[in-house]
Amino acid sequence: MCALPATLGRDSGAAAVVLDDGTVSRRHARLEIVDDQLVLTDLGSSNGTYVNDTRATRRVLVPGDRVRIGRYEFTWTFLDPEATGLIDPSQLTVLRPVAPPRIAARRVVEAAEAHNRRVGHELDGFLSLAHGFLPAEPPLRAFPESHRAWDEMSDRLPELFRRLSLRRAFDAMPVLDARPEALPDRYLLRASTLLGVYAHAYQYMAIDPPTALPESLLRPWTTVSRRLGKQMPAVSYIDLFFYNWRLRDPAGPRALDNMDLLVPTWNNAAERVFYLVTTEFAMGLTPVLGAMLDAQEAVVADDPAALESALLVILDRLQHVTQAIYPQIDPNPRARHPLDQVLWAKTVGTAGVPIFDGAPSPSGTAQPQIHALDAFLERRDYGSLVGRQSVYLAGFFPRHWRELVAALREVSVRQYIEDTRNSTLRGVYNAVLDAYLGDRGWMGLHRIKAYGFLEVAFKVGRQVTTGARFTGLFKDRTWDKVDDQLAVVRDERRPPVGPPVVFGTARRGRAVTGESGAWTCYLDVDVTGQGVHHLPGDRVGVLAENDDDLVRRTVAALQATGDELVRLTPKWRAAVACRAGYGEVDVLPLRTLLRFARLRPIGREVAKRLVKLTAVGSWQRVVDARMEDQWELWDVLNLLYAGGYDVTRLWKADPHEDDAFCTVVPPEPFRLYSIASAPPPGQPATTLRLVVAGLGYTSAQTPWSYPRERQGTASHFLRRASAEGRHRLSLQIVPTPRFRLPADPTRPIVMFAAGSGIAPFLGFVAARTRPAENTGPAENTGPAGNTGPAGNTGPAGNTGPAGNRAPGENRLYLGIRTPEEFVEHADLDAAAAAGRLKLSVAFSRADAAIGFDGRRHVVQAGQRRRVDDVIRAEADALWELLRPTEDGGRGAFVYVCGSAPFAVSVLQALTDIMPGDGREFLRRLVAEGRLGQDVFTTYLGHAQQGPRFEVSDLARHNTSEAGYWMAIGGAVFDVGEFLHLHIGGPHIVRNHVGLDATAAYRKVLHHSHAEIDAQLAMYQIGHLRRLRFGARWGVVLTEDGLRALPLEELFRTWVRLVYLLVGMENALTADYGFTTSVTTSDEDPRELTPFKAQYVLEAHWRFLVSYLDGLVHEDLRTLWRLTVGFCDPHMDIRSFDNDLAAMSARPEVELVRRSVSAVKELLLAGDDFRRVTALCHTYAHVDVQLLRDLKTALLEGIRAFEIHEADVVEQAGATLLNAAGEALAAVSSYYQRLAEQTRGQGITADGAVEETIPADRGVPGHGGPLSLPD
Amino acid sequence: MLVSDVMTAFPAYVRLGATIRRAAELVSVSEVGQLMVVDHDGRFVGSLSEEDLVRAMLPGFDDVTAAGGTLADAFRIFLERGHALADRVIDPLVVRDAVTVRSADELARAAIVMLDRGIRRLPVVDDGTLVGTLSRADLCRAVIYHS
Repeated sequence: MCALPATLGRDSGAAAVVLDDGTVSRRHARLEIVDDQLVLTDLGSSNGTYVNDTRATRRVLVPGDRVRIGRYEFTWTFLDPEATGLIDPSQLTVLRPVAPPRIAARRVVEAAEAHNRRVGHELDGFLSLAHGFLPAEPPLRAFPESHRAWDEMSDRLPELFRRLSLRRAFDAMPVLDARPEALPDRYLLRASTLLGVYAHAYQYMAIDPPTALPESLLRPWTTVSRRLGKQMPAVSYIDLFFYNWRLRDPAGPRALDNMDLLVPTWNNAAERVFYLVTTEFAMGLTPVLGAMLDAQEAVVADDPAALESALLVILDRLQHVTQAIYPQIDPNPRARHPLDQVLWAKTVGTAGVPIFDGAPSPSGTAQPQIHALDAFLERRDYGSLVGRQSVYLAGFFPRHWRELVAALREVSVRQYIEDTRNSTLRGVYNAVLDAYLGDRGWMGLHRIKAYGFLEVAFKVGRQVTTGARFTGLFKDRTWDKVDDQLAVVRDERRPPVGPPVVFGTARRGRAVTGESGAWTCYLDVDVTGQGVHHLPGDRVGVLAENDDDLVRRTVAALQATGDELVRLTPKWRAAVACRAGYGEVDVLPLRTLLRFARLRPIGREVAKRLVKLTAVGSWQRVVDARMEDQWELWDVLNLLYAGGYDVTRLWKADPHEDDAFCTVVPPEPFRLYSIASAPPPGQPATTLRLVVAGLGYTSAQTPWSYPRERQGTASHFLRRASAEGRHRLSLQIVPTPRFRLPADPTRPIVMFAAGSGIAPFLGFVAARTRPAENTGPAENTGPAGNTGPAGNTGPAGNTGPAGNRAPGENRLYLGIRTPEEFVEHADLDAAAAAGRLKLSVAFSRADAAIGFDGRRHVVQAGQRRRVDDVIRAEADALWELLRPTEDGGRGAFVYVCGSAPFAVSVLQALTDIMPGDGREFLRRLVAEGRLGQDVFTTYLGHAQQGPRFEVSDLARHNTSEAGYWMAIGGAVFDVGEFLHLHIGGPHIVRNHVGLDATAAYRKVLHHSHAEIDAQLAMYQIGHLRRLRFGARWGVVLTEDGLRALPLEELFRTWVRLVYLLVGMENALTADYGFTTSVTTSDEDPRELTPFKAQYVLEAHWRFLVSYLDGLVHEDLRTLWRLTVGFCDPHMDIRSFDNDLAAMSARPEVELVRRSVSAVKELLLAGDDFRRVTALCHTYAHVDVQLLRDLKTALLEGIRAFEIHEADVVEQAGATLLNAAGEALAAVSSYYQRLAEQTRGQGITADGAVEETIPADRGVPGHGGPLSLPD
Repeated sequence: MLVSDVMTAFPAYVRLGATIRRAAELVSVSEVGQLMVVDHDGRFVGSLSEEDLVRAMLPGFDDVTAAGGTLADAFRIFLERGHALADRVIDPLVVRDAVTVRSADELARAAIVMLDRGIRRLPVVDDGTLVGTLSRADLCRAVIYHS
């Protein structure tokens, strides 16, 4: 605040308002009152005084004028000291540099834009605010007349591939001149893309690489590459993605639906979707570039509000590309753009692997957007394999990109947020990181999706990624190693600022208790100023605390006072840091630790750890019976103490020891609740409403447990919080991209809820019926405008402008027990009053109904019924709503929220009422993104385990005839229908049917994502029976000498081999399934083209060496030896080897193995394709059949174990040996059969030699086998 | 309580150069699993366990396959080897870097090393001379039973 007249200038002695800037003169300008007017006078400054951007010498100021001196802009408020007494003077003089000082990154972008405009091409790198890292000019679609020969080849590629005649065609293509005098600069990028794609097509058309590239490709490609500054020719990310698209409608959007590949290779669905989605992904991130610049400028200008809005743009874009664009890579065959993983693996997957030694690859680590984001978010560590590769590839970036990435590192947004301790900024910044790196963010989704692709791909023979090469036998699970790399590289990014939580304050809520004593609590949590941005349908994770009573019991059971100090493990330290009021602590009093620990029910992991630590037999029996979930920790501790275990070890042990409390018992996890409120679009949430159903049950009276009242930890904690109010809660927002409102607000929605499952629908109704001025069309609601369902590639988003059409209907079906449980919601009443909601309530335990009296929903007389009864009663109306729009229906979106049994009953009822094939209808609903499921685990308090199944039952269920089963964590699931609904596509599910899929399930973190894990229960049919072998053991002779082996271990060896066989059978079925896919454009899927035939040959060869040799020479041999030890002391341990050697020496085996290369020559010669086709069909059939025969043989042995258990050796030793022998006999007759068929086609092995497998070069990704000619 | 309070002062021992048959006889007569071994001057050298005697009789994989390859062959070799071993000297089977305690050591010290290293019987050696042995049974008797 200054009094007038006032001088503005650089000199602190002479000026009243000091402007610290070299371009400001010492005495620059004066402000004064003249005739009741505010007048600004320039005092002869060197650089001038500007009013509204025009230079002024003397001027009268009016409100709204902008005054600029040097880099400062002034706003001014004129105060009448008589009238204003309550203004803080420190807020009155606000100096803010003009349109923030231009940061380095801004200068780079502006220079790049200017440069590209000036030179008329973008060879130094696409870079502009409008198009990000993509070309400002759409890629050129043709060359000048002189180079038409190149253009013409493009359309022929698919056909040339199909017929395996591509190399001949390029050998015959003329060698065109690519020097500057013949080919101007503006065509260089097109030439680079085209020649690169051609060269790779030439290289990879046949599985065996050529000895060299033809002159027609190598010479111009080398010239073009040199002109682009590349040391050696290589297909770059630009070639393959950024300059390889064209718009169908040039005026239309840059989106998958409006794009085609410029230079397709096979032009199959996998190629199109994979490449174009990658391109659209980059397009979707375009606004992030400007937002990063804005954010850094906001930091320099110390403008938190501007920083928040810039970060929100980044958050919105990251969520959009992750949840809407990326999921378009959809392996669901009913999807709008299905992408078959096997087709991908055999064609697109390897196409980018560089041809020349040391050349850079177009791997995902070469994405400039990712490098820019990493720089912006200050990634420092690039030490991992993938990290090193990514640095290497960035070295090949065009100039503008390199400069931008370097410039983005100059301003630290992170440091600013750490320093200012602004909770809103922290919340938004951490949300950006989570959207980028989190398990449910872009990197997390990428990892899960990539895992599925890699697993399927490796199982069908792909051994190279554009990033790395991995080799090994089938059972080595090489794809796990790739996945581990992806996990490591995520850890190289920097962690959130502070703990990854937001803090909320509970308000007093209300609880409603039903007749049965069950209660539901409605709780509002205040999150004002925490930077919470979420969409309707999202969930919130709550960290609960155990109640005093439970803590007291546990302290007593630990024989402690509660005051003991316990040191924390790193995992526990991280968990405690998320608690309000606790920062980085290393030690906690035992009592506090117990408040935060997961004390009930006992999880399986903890149960097993306690078995290992204590060896208390009674507890072991409980765990064997899978009844540990009937116990709480203090219960168990008492049991263990009685069994002689020193329970004080738990709090006395050091944190690194096995029996330390923090090692044994995990911290309480975030418990997820659906958010029952919705903030206005683009606004932060101020309140999160939760609907919490009370969980109380009595544990079961069984030989392994005793009846006792038990309570749910989280529900009771939240009820206490709502009764007390003002409780600080630690929260985490969990996005649910598959549970989103339709982007098009005119679409009807149908919601089914049971009990507290109404929660997300309260948010839905609020968002859909909000008064019009706040909603607006979905496309332009600003940062949070992407309310579309993720992966909504269906017709939903594309029905044209919603403009004048009426908003869509909202229907809510709610199932509850009695009228006491019915709660009025003002939002629902208001929506119904406005004609925007139809609510129907089914009471399962009372003859009542709900009616609407024009103002409120009221209880009336009615019939007791369940929601599925209502669905059946309203079948016609629902069909009308759900039927697809192109079928004359209204294309409603359907949502189900409730327990697994409820979800099952709703889906079953919907299946039943649909005319025609109801199940197929449901599958389409899922593929179109029109079915959202929010299933939660309702613990029933009693281990309802259902029927018991045997391993031999499970292993038979891996075909369409027998059905598809799968075991996870000891439970058995029928996934026959689920595989059509699986987000990751049917291949991944089919790879794991008939076996124990626990490891794969956990690898993708499905078990730790409650929203996924809960859905499992919908498909559970029982448990695997655990066989009892007592302490039986036997003696076996191994390479290491004589050993005593538990009988149980022998059984496990059998089971492992059976599962391996089942896994191979699944993989091989997928492998040969490739023969019925459309691999090049316009082909008949039933035709076995030469291109497909070579993959059959390759798969067959791989089957022989990678599957069969390992199976017979290692696994079956080991099984046989161990079994002999138990079952026949008079059998020579070498007899298996002798039989095997005798078999291998037979001419049939030699013929089968050597003939593969002969058949391949026949194929490439192209003369007698009929014989090749016949053999390919034979291979595909007999290879799968052999695996089935082997399985059938071994299952005889497994059955013997199941029938006789501990007595199997005495009762059925001969059966076991016989089964193992039968397996070898099956291999022998396989070779015999196949040899006959081969001979029948006139193929002999004369002169042919068995192909050798090329040595693994072990080079991660860069460069193929060719060295670049000089 | 010290080792000397509890130890067995007259341990079963055998001299270097004795036959394996002699060692087997001592093991069976004394019912001790671990024989102490002294040299000709009566200096402590190491120990010989019945476990090592038994292990010496077990055939390896190649031994079994050379003799017929069945489990029954393996069991037969076991017996034959025992027979053949009897007249050989014990020297190659002696463990020479055995853990020892002194008679003046605290009992608990001995107990800890026994548990950590899986030792059932410790030699008590003072200045190179074997003065006794201390077994787990000795510990239980003295510390628990007589307490």
